[in-house]
Amino acid sequence: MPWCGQPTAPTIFGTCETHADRLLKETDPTIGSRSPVDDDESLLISHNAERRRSRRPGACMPDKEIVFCMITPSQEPVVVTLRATGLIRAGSTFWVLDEDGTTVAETWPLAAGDTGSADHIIGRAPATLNHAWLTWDVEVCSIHPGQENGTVEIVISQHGVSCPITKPQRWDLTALPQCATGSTIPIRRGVQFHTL
Amino acid sequence: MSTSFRAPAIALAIALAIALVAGQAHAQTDKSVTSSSTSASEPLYKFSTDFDVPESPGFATLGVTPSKVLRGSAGKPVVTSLLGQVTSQGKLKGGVAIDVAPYFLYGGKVNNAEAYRANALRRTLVNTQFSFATIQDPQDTGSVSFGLGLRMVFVDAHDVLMHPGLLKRVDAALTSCSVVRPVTADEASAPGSGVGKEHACAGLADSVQSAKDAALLFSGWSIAAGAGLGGFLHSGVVSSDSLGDRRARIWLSTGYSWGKHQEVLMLAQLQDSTTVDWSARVGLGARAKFNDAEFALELSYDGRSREFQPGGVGEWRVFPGVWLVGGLTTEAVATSGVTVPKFRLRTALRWNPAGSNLR
Repeated sequence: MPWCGQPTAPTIFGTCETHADRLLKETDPTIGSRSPVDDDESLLISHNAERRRSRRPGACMPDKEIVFCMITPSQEPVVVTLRATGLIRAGSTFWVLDEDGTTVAETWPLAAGDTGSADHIIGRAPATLNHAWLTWDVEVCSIHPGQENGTVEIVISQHGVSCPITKPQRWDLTALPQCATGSTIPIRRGVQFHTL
Repeated sequence: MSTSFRAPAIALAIALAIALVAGQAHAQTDKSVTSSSTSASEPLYKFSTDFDVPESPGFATLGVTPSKVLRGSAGKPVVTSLLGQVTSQGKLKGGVAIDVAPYFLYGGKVNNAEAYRANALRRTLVNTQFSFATIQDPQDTGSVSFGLGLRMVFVDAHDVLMHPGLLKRVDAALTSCSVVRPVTADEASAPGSGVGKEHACAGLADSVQSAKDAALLFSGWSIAAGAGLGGFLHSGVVSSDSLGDRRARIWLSTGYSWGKHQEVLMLAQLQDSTTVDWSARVGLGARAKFNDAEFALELSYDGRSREFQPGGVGEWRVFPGVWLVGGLTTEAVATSGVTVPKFRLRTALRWNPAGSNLR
């Protein structure tokens, strides 16, 4: 689990003031608000903060973990790919949300199907996606009674390459329910777009 | 120097060992998965196709299956069978068999349904079963017959994964479940993996049932091959002296289904034992199949006794995943140096723990 501003995990930035941060600031004024920029100073501050947090179990959980997807504001559309590996089924709905994170601008269903992979091209121009969100709910279950494991992955790409700094959105799932039982495992997650 | 054990203890130990090894392998498979997210919770109840549960290869090795013309249909992940056979002396001969399909238990993978269809070797491995069976001797309760069997299924026309497009209805149900409410930015960026708890998805079970029903309507072949080794442990002692009546069997069973309800079965089998060299058996059967019952008539020719042996089998689903099987067959029995055909009544209880399609 990355902690706030963890420089070794540049793809996930926690929002940089958790309750733990506020408590730490009250006791240590050297720990100020930080940006996710991994310069030496912030590294040092982060290191000190982490040392203090390590004495406080559970205090390093950030309030939010925002995954950024960097895209170029070109005419090349953004492609969303749902991948499922194993004898599993994955069906999903994707939403493009405005900057407020709640208003739905675009939505579509997507299922990995027999080939385990399906694509969708986002209708909105990449230039208009700055600060917009892409969220999804993938429902997963196993179709073969002998298999309970599988992998689900969301790949967001432009110009044929995946989001350069987005942490791969991949889930290795175990003990998946059988589809025949009528039960599924949901994966509800998302990324925020930023144009370069 | 030989070590002696009581046979029932050995049988129990081996059965437990198979179960434990299977369980351990399963646990290791789970551990080997480096999850970037949380593991889903263990499902409360699981179902699988509970139709055409094939005969145990272990019992087939010993020649004690209620039906002699064996199925070619795909095996189940784990099946336990209890056998009850009425002997000519009126005594009940009991046996137990455990069949395990080890491919997924030992970390085997299939990338997707298309790969399953395209790769015949992998598909065969997925549908390979190992089996261990023992039967207690009615005269000497310390003695047992044992059989080790292997069964591989090459084709099964009713395998839902073999038909492109059938599972689209499952995808549609999953997609419908995902649109209940949009995932907001707050939820999408909440700490954690994003993997939620197992929950019910309306219409999903029906869609799976519908896909499996549609697969059962296809006409086509099922082909399986099996092989096994067995013997008899006198007085429950494991030693070279006490191992007798060694036997081996190999067989090819095929079936052609016309839709869900009718199937013609064919069997070609070679058997060897310490007393008689390799001999052949061929058989033909017709089977009528319904959701909760199956009935079959069969006729086989036994090359050893040079006799035609008719028989009949009935199977009833008594609970989801549990089938009661009763078979009446004829067998050649040597009495005072004369071989005469005798009826044999065999019953079995098959338990497919993965459950059934029934809801």
